[in-house]
Parts: sequence; C-alpha cells; structure tokens
Amino acid sequence: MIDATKLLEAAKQLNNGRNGNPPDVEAIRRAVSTAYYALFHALLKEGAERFVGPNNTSAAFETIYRGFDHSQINRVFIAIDKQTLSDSYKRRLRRSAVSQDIRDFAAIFVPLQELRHLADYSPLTQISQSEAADLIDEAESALQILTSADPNEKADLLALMLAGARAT
Amino acid sequence: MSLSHEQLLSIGKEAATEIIGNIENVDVETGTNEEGHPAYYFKLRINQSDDKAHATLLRTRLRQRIRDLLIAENDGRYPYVRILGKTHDRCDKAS
Repeated sequence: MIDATKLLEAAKQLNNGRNGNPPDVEAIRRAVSTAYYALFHALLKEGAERFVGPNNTSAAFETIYRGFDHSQINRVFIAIDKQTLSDSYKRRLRRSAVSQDIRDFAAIFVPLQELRHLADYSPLTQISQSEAADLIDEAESALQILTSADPNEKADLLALMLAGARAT
Repeated sequence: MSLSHEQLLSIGKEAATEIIGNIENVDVETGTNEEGHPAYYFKLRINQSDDKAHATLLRTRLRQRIRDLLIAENDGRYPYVRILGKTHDRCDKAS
C-alpha cells in the first residue's frame, strides 16, 4: 500500500536539502510533485476502501484504486469549490453546497495539482524552497481534513470522480 | 464573462486585505489550465503568519475568497493562486 504520510515525509526531506545545504532546484520540483501524489494516493485509498473494503488485496481493490483519473478529480473539485453548487451538482450530490472540510481539501488539491504539472514539465517555472514548504504544509493539512471529513460526503464525491464524464 | 485586468487585480487585493490583512504585490495572468479550460493565474506576495497551521488556513481561505469574488462577478474561471511570502525563517532558493 502507498502511504500518503510517508510520501509527505519524502517531500519534506527533498525540500530540506542535504548535509546542511539548501535543496537543488530538482529536489524542490520533486518535493512539490511528491506532495501532490501524497494527496492523490490518499484519495485513491479512500475510494478503494470505501467501495471495496479496507485492508483489501483483491483485484477489485486495485481496479477501483487505479480507476481514478487526475482529470476527473480535477473537474469535480473545481465544480464543488464554490459557495453554492450548480444545479447539476446539487442534483447529483443531493446537497446545495459541500462542507467547509471538503471545500478546503479542494482548494488545496487543485492548485497543488497545477503546480505538480509545472514542477514536472515546465522548465521555466520557478518554485522557491519556501513556497514548496508552504505547499507541503497545505498537503499535510489536507490529509488531516480528508481523514476527518464526513464519510458519506466523501463517498458521494469519490463516486462522482470514479463515474467519469458520464456523471459530470 | 471575462473581467478586465484591473478588475482581477482589484479582486486579488480585496481578498488578500480581507483575509490576510496585507498585500505587498498582486499579479494576474489569463490562460488555460492543464485541462485546457480558461483560468486565472494569480501571484500574491503577502506577509504571512509565523504560525504554520494558521498561515495554511489563511492561504486556503484566500484562494476561496478570490474564487467567490470571481463567481460573484459571474466569472467561473478557476483562479490558480500562488502565494509567495515567507511563513518562517525558511531560506529561499528559487528553482
């Protein structure tokens, strides 16, 4: 199993530098990318455990875990990161707005995903060590939010993310 | 509906002043995100709290406030908000 907390620890180590020296630019980029993947895998684990069951080594668990898609997660989080949901999302989620916890998670996940793309693929993007440290702090906060958020609300969102374009 | 550059800067300043209490600099560009959807790219330089947890919460609320102000202007483009400014005595090396 991929441990999101350990991924975040890896991100911190990358961003802290080595032997008292500041991190090089590549380490900062890897730190940002790793912080994003900590959140991504935490979501996938939530989904697979919810829909298949915890402590599961079945093929179904892996299928559901790997059934999530970066783009679809992005679309759902952008759609719900607002004070009042669109009519379409109100109908699908059977609520007029998501909880503050879920909105906070979305507001951390979406920009971190964008920064992950830049960190991995954009040679001109500059990310400082302090900005990376802030992003890692945010990812750590988001992991706590995900743990404490309402299980049924999380399940509704995860189902929407899994169902893909047909549902959204 | 697309807002003018001046309106976007004003929204960034308003949100930062309201949530953080200060703003050193705000910049914004219009573009498309990795999904190909129109988006705004804000860069805000602010003085942040020394309290890590509090600073994290305020950054989250700041992003949400900018999003809400845009929606209030009927602009659904997602604002990607990069917040620059040291939280701690972190040395700062740009990549």
